[in-house]
Amino acid sequence: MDRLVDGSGGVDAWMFDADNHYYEAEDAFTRHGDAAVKGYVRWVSNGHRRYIMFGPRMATSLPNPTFDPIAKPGVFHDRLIELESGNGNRALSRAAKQRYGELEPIAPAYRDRDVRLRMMDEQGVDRCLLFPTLGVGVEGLMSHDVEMAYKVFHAFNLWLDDDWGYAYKNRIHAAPHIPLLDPQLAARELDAVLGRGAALIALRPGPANGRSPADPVWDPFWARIDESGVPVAYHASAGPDDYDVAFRHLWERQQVTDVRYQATLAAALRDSRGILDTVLALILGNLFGRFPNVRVSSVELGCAWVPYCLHVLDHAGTLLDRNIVAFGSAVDDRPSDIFKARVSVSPFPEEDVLALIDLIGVDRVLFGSDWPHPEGNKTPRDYVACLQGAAPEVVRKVMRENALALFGVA
Amino acid sequence: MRVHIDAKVCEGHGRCYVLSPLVFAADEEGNGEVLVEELDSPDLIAAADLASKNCPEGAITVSDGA
Repeated sequence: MDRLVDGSGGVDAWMFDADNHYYEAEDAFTRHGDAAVKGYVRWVSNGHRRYIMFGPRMATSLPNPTFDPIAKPGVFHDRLIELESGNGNRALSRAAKQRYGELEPIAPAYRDRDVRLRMMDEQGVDRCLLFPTLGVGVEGLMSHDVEMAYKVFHAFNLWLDDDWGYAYKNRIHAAPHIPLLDPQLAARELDAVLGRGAALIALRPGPANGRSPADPVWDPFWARIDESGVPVAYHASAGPDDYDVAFRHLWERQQVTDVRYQATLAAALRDSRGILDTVLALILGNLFGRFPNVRVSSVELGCAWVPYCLHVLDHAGTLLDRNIVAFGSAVDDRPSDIFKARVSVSPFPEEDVLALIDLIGVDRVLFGSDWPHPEGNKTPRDYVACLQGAAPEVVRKVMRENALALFGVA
Repeated sequence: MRVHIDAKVCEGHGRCYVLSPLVFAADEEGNGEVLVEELDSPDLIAAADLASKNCPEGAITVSDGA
């Protein structure tokens, strides 16, 4: 691999990692909150552990939201490769040590941007897209209290600007998160973060509070995205959402007789549902026709859903007609071509990245290590192994240039 | 029930008169205008409500106001 010498990180730092994470400071949601937010988001203790509450609901998507101690980066990766390859047909012990490995005290690079930059230098990472850990699992805790959800995320996005910055040294692109629960409040929060220099916006996959994210009621939001040219990332989410409600309606309306079976089934059915539904809804809703500059990325959602999505897109319409009309306009381009023009995908490192390149084109595949989460690579450059046998220009595109292009850097 | 469009907020998306042409029409600039201010039937109230829920700018209010 030839090294790029023009990266701002120096000779050795050349990669652009599209999926990196921080572990939130404990006051991430409250530091800039008003009295209402400070009363709503509270830490509680049961004498052994501390948990964070949003109004009456506890965030349960993470075993330890203080992140101290924390699992080492990439400790799940070997196991995930084993499962992806069809092996690993055995249950792990439920003991935390076997599942999470030896925990360690939280490292400064997970919370301090200058330490992180030095870590990126060591890793060979020039730039990264930076996403939440706790923050991707709390929107659904507030979906019944829409105004509070926007107040909380307004405070969170201000904290993010404080601790990380939205484009720190043009190397760390931390994404403000905006709930799509109310069209005017979403547009207002988008104006606020764009006004402070946001270079990337993170959204939760799935329906937008009971309607399509491509419904024209959201056009003020997308018009601002379109005008600013800022890329949008749909990142994996956690916590309660409308898919839980749908599952209970579809599969648990009669008596539940086996709770463990229901939990396994719910997880399997929802697996890639959110991003699959979202991309179908955006393309068939002619969002990309109305907004020619909007580009979306799928991050930490794998790529198993992509072939099926392309299939469904090109069979949309009636049985024999690909006659797709949405909100008064026809979708004239082949829907799978719209996908390949406007949607980028960051596959998991255990997936077949070269097959995805064949499917959607080399320009739309983004390297994402998920560092420092346990499910990702131990260190970002390990991802290059997914590209074994690929031409050097393919490696350069996936590991750097495709993500740079999202930011208008050729 | 009465329906009102806040002209300062309307951006002319046109959702109101597309979805509820019995209650709304386009003015000469393409902004929404109210055809029927007094909503004296459930159908008209439902039509105004539909437009209100789908106005991208939140410019439409349906109220009991006299």
